[in-house]
Amino acid sequence: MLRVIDLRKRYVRHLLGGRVEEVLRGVDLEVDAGECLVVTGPSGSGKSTLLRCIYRQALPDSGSILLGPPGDSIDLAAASEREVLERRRTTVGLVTQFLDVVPRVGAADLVAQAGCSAQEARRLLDRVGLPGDLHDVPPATFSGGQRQLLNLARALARPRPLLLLDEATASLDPSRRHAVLRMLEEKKHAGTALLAVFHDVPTAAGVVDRVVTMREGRIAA
Amino acid sequence: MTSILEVVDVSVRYGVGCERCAPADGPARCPVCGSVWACRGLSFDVDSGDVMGIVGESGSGKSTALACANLDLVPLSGRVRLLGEDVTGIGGARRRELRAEALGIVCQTPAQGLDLDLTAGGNVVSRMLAAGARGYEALRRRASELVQATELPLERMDAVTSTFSGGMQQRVQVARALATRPPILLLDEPTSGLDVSVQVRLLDLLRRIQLETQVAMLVVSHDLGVIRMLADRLLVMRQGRIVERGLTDQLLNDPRHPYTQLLVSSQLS
Repeated sequence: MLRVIDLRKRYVRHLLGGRVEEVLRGVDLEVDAGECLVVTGPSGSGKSTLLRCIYRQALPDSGSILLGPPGDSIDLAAASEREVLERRRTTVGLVTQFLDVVPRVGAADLVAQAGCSAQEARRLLDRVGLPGDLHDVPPATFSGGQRQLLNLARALARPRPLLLLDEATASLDPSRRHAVLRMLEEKKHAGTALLAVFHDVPTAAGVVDRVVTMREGRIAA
Repeated sequence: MTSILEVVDVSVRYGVGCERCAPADGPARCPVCGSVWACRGLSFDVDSGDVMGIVGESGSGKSTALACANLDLVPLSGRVRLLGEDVTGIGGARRRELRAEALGIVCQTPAQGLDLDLTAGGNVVSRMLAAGARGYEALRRRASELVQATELPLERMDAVTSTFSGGMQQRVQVARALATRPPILLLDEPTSGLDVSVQVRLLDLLRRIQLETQVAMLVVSHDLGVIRMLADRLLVMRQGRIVERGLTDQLLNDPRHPYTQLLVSSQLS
């Protein structure tokens, strides 16, 4: 479903006198449909930049990001802006702990906007564990965990064959974390490919298939 | 798919120009003759459902780019195409027709975009009349639809717009621009001069309308916050040139040009 080949990314900080940060130094990885690959590693090792490059919130300097079955894939590293927007709508979802939605629209409407009916939106919010009295509340006042639940529900609003999870359960209490991991496991069994960044790999959960560690911009093991 | 708006290699010069003008990477103002190159080799296109933003400091050429799109200005060189038709330098009846039917504009100040001596309904209806619509009942019905869609109080529809607040006047501009259901809306600093809470309501309104109607938008603003809320794709302009382009969230997360980095780091929040 996803094949990343020799991906390289450096940030040049012009406001800091042209300071160069080599964040990805040739990353290769592959995630199949129905598989969950977890990337772990110390802070600053490039995990989030990797996900951002795949979602094209950052533009890689070189390498390829092949999305889709072999022979019918698109290289997200070189795809046009419109192609990327289209893939975000239909194929790849990103879940972070940040709020990147209009903060004055009710939570259920935000989920519906991501691609499902109003009824389905409420059902999803119930399932991820956002209390019912918050369904119509705009997320500006949500806690970090509640924002995460909303982002997750948005990513699940329509079937997307690839989900990118950036510390997607970091701010959740243990029971919600468990519920979310179970949902992700279900998605995986239904064929969704998952690429997840975790600081602490959820060992108890059956969702994880493989774990790789990043160090200084490379896959170490 | 045919683009709604296509701007191809457009250059605009204010002033007479000379041989030394606009070297490829020089300043926008010619040191010899004093001419200003407001756009230099500008190219972009907007498709159905697209929201394209243009950001840049004052004098970067973003409003000139919008003026070319609105057929207010004939570029020195390059082409402008609207719905596949080459409209560069077009005039007369066809230009009036296109501006009435194919383009809607929301100007920076209400005085530019509205007749403040007319009522809200009158401003909306006059645009429909310009596009050839007739029939009192139908015009009135459409005007009240738009007044409601833009969240203006219906009872103020027959009040003169000079008595409206700034935020309400901008809503009348939006209603007027949408009156003929144009495929593209041009927005020139639509929220500047409004207080923050009114800005936010107007942006929410524009976003809702975009989601519901899928109207294409070209939004010019110096405010990255406005662009972030509205635009999927973004052009960063400086001294008449596009210095960086990309997905809005990409440019905000991973600005690469020194000027874009400065813009992103200068955001208040």
